[in-house]
This record gives sequence, C-alpha cells and structure tokens, in this order.
Amino acid sequence: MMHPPSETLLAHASGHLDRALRVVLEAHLDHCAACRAEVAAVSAPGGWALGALPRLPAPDALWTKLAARLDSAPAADPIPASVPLPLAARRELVPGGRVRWWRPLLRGARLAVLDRDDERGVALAVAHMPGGRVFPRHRHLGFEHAVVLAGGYEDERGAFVAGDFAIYEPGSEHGPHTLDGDDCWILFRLEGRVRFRGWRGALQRLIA
Amino acid sequence: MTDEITDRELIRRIAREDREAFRLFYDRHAGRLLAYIRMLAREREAAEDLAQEVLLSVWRKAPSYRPDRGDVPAWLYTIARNKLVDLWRRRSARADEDGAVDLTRFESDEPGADGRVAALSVRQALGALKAEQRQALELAYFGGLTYEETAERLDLPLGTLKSRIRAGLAILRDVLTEPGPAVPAGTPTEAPAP
Repeated sequence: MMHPPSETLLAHASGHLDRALRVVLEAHLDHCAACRAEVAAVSAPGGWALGALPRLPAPDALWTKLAARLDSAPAADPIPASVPLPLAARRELVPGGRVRWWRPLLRGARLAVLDRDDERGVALAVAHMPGGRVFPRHRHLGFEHAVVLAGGYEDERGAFVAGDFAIYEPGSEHGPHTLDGDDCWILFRLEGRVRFRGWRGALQRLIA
Repeated sequence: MTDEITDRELIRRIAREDREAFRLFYDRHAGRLLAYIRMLAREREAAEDLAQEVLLSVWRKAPSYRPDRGDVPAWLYTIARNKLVDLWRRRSARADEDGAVDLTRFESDEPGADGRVAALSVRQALGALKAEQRQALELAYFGGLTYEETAERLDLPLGTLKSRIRAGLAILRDVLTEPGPAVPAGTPTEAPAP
C-alpha cells in the first residue's frame, strides 16, 4: 500500500492539517492499520497531557448550549451514500449543503467539489470514472494529495488501488488511466490548478 | 457507578446517540478540555465556544471512532487541536504572543485508571527530554504555533524541527508507557530538575 509521509500523520495528530487534507487522510486511515497505529503513537502524548491537566468545573451553561445544538445540528454529511467515502472522512466535512456534480469533457466521468478554501486556493473533490478510461494528461501547478476510494488507476508512478495515498508535487505531470474492471473513485485535495495538454489545454487557455 | 464505564464504552453509546452517555462524557472530559483550550485561547468566551465545537465533533464523530488509532483522550486531543488550529487559520489569531504552553501546568494530582498520577508521569517524561526537544513540543505540539512559525522562531530548518518533535514524542511515549508503581492521589508532584 502507498502511505502518506510520517510527517503528515504527525501533523494530523497535532492539528496542523487543513480540513481538506484531513478528509483525504481519514480516507486512507480507514484502509491502513499501519498508519492508524502511527497516528495512535504520535497522538498518545497529547492524550496523556490532557489527562494531566487540573480539571476545571464543566459549566452547566455550556452543557445547556451543547444539548440545544444537538437538537438543531444537521447530522447528515452532504455526500450521497453511493460515494464510497469512509465514515471518518464524511464526519470531517461540514454537515449540510448539497453536492453538485459536473461532467468534464470525458465520457462517463463526473466530479464534485466537496469543500473549498478560496483564500488559500485549496479544493477538495471527488472524481468518478468507469474502468478502462484514460484521463487527459495534465500538469499540476500546486500540490495534489489523493487517495483511491475504490477501483484503481495507473500512471507513470505505478498502479494505485483502494486506500493508496498519492502526492503529486507542483510541476509534476501525469497521464493516468483507470484500471479495467470496477469504477474508479478518487478523493483529492488540489492546491492551485492543473493545466491540460493537447486540445483540452488549448480550450482551457481560451476560456480562462 | 459511572466511573466503571470506560471511555470506549461511552463512545460506543454516544455513537448510538445516547445523550446520557454524552453527559457522562462531558462530566468526565469537559473540565480538562476547557482547561487546555483556555491555556491557548485568548478570551474566556472564545474558549467555551471552542470547547462546545470540540464536543459537538465528538458527538458527530463517535460512530467513526476506532480504538486502534488511539485511546479516547488522544482522539479528543487531536479533535481539539484541529479545532484550535482551524480557528487560528480563520482569524490569524493566537492565544498569546509567545505561543508556548507552559508544561508545568500539567499538574493534576488525580490518579488515572492505572493508579498512577498523570501529572507525575508527564513531568517525569518531560524531564527526560532534551531542552531543544521540549521547546519544540511546547511550541508546535502542545502550544499555539504552526510548524513554520516554530521553525522561524527557533531559527531552524523545518526538517530539523520535525525531527526534534518526533524524537521528543518517542521519548514521552517510552517514559509514559513504562510500568510504574501506583502513586496514591495527593502525593506531591515535584517537577524534575532542569
């Protein structure tokens, strides 16, 4: 299995990942016992420290506010059950809202943006493609962190299947194709944009 | 009676939307959670709001909790840290200008489930750290700075900072998981010599 770097797991345990990357990482953790064990190891000192603090009285007023919010908070995440997104990843997303799918110029493919941080230029999205299809070759202008939710794809770096975690650095370029067989679902966090090659790139420049 | 219910059992019940279990969880953890957040949040009201958000996340995330990714306090700590750092990102605000958490404030003298006094164990563990490791942890793991800010403050390459944090956490884990003698509650907890 392809894993995230150890420093990403440490950053998660100490709260330093943005929400989009937390969702991607949680999707990987659902598949990976080794990374769950590492998260347990690096978060343990935080748990011990919390337990060593003197206990303040927990205010009744705080409980009252909290209980009221349990009644009003939307419980459901916005992702349809048909998307194979693990529960822990779903629960990182802001509840409520609605997912809008759009279809790129690629037969049978669809994408949905699940979360967006415009200030930092970060988007979290899920892509769904049938097996055996070629995704247009493209270059990343910023980092992409991706995890395969189901099915798989292959590119110049190898084959990626359910649970595999991939990082594409700024300036990297690849032309993935989905593996034959099952539909491929990919969850990815994108910084900045991607530039397509060929006629799609020309069209992209034209409408930009 | 309620002390006999483990954290894990409480989370299982909260996952089934058991409000009584959530109230027990609140009574058990909210005080310390609030104490930690107040160490880092600037205003009392903001600390309570944030504690509320953390506890609401516990309610929502309980069905997805898996024990093999950490015990419940560690899981709670990670949720709290994520909420704190998200808030800092939104507001570009910090708890205090220093950004460090004073680790000597981890001074509860209540015994944990294994009979050891948590604060004594944590202080022993902190005493085993090199000064540079402790400083890195105080700022970026327990405290209020990002890795980038900490590296800049300490004038270190980012990779060196992360190595210090990782090494420091490994020492804390080793010391804190060593079997130790049970310490009766109320035993004075002297800080280790620097």
